[in-house]
Amino acid sequence: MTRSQERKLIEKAAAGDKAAASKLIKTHQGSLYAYILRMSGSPEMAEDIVQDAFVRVLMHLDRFDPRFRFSTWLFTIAKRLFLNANQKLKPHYDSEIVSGWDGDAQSPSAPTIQDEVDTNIRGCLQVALDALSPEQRDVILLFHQQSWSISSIARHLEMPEGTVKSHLHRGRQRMRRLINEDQGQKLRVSEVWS
Amino acid sequence: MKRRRGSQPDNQNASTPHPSVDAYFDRELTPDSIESLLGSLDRSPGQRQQFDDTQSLLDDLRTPMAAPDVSGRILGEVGDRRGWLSTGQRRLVSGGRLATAACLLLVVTGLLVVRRNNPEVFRAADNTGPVSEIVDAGGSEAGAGFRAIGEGLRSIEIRCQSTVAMAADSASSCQSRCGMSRMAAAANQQDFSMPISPGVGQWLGAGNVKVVFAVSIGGALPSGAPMGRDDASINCWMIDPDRNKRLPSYEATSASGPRLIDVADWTAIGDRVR
Repeated sequence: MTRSQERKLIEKAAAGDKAAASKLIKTHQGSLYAYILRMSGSPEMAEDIVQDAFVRVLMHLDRFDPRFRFSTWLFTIAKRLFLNANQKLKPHYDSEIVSGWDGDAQSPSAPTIQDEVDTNIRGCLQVALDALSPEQRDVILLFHQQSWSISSIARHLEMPEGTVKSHLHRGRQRMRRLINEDQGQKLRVSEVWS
Repeated sequence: MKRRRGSQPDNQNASTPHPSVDAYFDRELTPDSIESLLGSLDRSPGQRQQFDDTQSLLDDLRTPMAAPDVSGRILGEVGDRRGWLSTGQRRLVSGGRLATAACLLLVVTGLLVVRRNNPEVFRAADNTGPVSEIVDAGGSEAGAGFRAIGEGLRSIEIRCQSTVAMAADSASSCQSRCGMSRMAAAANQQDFSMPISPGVGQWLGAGNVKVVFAVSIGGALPSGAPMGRDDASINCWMIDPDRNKRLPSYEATSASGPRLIDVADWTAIGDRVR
């Protein structure tokens, strides 16, 4: 969606057009959910924050400054909500492997094993993300997950571009190190079930 | 989801990452530079491993995630709070806004036309009464203003332009203290400056002078203006000769530099320009 198309949608939604608001939500809810999920590690929290952020944004569309991207505004509000909520909830992941276990079989079914390995990878990625400083995590997600430019991130986080790059480099190094350390553990999980 | 390749990197080579790797992940390399980097990494298995691990990690970050569709709940909540409008209702609202804007435009245009054809209609506020009565009524405000001048400045000098002259009532009473003789002379010469000391400012502020500045147009005082007489009545105005309108302010200089002293109080009094 181009910015002019998005602006028209925003104008219509601000005027009370439900369909335009719905399109706006569907355009951005996936990326916002992924961002908050990676920030928080909690699907429930991510869902609540996405909903709350959109409600706030749609209630105050008249305050939207068209010089900026809608996503920037949305993510800013969502992040503020996340920071508030983060003080109350702690992230956790539940493994589905137990519920997938067939009591009569010798081992869990193949798809379940695959799911568990995937979950471990996703979990290990989340663990690596959680090990980063909040700034590093934010920068890594906005740049590599949301594909924002460094200059956009610098404006959004109100820090110099050099600092953004520094967070990126250190964040990537730290994540890679943590993932490598976890690599042996992950492989051992696969070998146990093979 | 992609799998990260290999297990442990070649520590010897990986300990010194290729200088262009970070630039690559920062999306700053040109296609040629990328090709060169990849060629270089192929000759260094450890660095290549590290590069692939990082690439795979970042690819994982970009892997689409199944996001729940919360649009229904959002629209419901927003609808409960402020409501949604149908297309017809939105057209009605837009039409109403347009109509209101058009009406306002018409009113403003009409006022401008009337003002152009009959400017006097809009001068009602300026035509309130003779200056003597007005200044009597505003004496306390004027006094306060001059007290402020007297207390706030070490000394001030009032400058008038050549087309403006000045006089005051109670001329002889003021003469010894505020240079009224110079003012009277200046009224004829059409150009003068009048120093006022803090003491005079306080004296002026005590309400002894009913009209402080009197101005004529083009150097000629209004007919019969009783300059320099003890029993001078108030017959003075400050006038912009070009527009036949009271001046909104005059310029005063102090030891600390020029200041513009607003005579809004005088304007608020509503002096009548004749």
